[in-house]
Amino acid sequence: MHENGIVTAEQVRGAIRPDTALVTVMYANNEIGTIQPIREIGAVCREMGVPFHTDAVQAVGHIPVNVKEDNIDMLSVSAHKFHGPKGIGVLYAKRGTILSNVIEGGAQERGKRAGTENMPAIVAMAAAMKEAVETMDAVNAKIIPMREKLIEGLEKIPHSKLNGDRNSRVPGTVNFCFEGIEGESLLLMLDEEGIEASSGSACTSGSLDPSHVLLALGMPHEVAHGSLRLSICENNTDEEIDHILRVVPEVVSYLRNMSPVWEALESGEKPHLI
Amino acid sequence: MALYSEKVMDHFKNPRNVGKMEDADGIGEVGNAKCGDIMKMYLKIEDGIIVDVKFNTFGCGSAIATSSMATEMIKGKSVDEALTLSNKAVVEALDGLPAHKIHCSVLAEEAVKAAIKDYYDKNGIEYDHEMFCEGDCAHCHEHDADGL
Repeated sequence: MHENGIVTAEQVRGAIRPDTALVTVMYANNEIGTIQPIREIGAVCREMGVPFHTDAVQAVGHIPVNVKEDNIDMLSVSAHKFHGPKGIGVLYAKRGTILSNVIEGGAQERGKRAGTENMPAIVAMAAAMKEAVETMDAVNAKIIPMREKLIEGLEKIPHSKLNGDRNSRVPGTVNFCFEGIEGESLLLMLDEEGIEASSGSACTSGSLDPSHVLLALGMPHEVAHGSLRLSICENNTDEEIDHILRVVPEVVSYLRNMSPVWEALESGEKPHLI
Repeated sequence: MALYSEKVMDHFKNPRNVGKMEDADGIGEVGNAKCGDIMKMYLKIEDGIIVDVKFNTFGCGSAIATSSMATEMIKGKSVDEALTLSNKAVVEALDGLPAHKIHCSVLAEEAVKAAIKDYYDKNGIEYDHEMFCEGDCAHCHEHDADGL
């Protein structure tokens, strides 16, 4: 994988073997927001006769997704990512796709998953999706300038790095690494300032390893520990972005001042990695 | 965030004895940046008493809080008393830590010991080498399984 997190169609072509049963690639990554070249990957899968699935949970409702034009055979969606209820989603499967039954029993969902459907959640998801798609252009016209301002502001912090591709990214996701600090302490301090963020780091997940996504991009462990993911939506305001840009540099600087890792970097004992 | 006790949050937000020490008598650094925690402990020792202590920590909220609590618990104590500081005592003083954060308290205990070992080494004081760990992160993380 490239440093920007993009999987190319040619890489997928090279990875397909005679016994490949399925190709699945995220439409957009949940941690770094990078959008994959789904249409091109789908075309390669069609050409090679391999079913293609995409996890479009981060994409649907935020960027245009068209299963036909994008050469998608199967696609997963989750309602809570576009302000719908939690606990409901969709698996789209192109007509003719062979799916095994998940829960045997009743005839619901064409026998694929027996059991009474959660009708209120389904209706609410459909309403949320309709609204998200109808307002997408207007919402993105508001979010994208905020995201750009956030990225440009955070890039001014020395030894920081935007994770994921600079351009091919979903409108609301910003993910940074700050060298010399650890993500969870950053999150806790931001929480105190009313900023709700996530890290994808060891400490929030209970695992001792940093984000596997950042490691896959080639980010060293010690840098990947210092990650921050900010998600913005149309309910955020310019004032909130200004608040984030005021607070984050202060907190990063405070934590660096008490960090022996930062001390070693600044004294030249160890080289800066970003 | 209800992950941590009020005491942990207090020591995280208002860490005691944070900083560096230019004329330290003993400095101990334990942990590994790859694992996500490094603690550096500085001791000022006069007549066998820890008269001042400072710490710098790279790590999560509980790593900072356990460092801070450990410095409070050994300040003004004799070196011998400081050597008896256990990670369990640090955890209890903080009203507990989540199970997967116990390793942070182990690191705090090891940081104190590493600083004392450095003091012994610098001053040619004899000691039992088995009392001290190698500052190896993976070793400390094994304590996770204990869960106290």
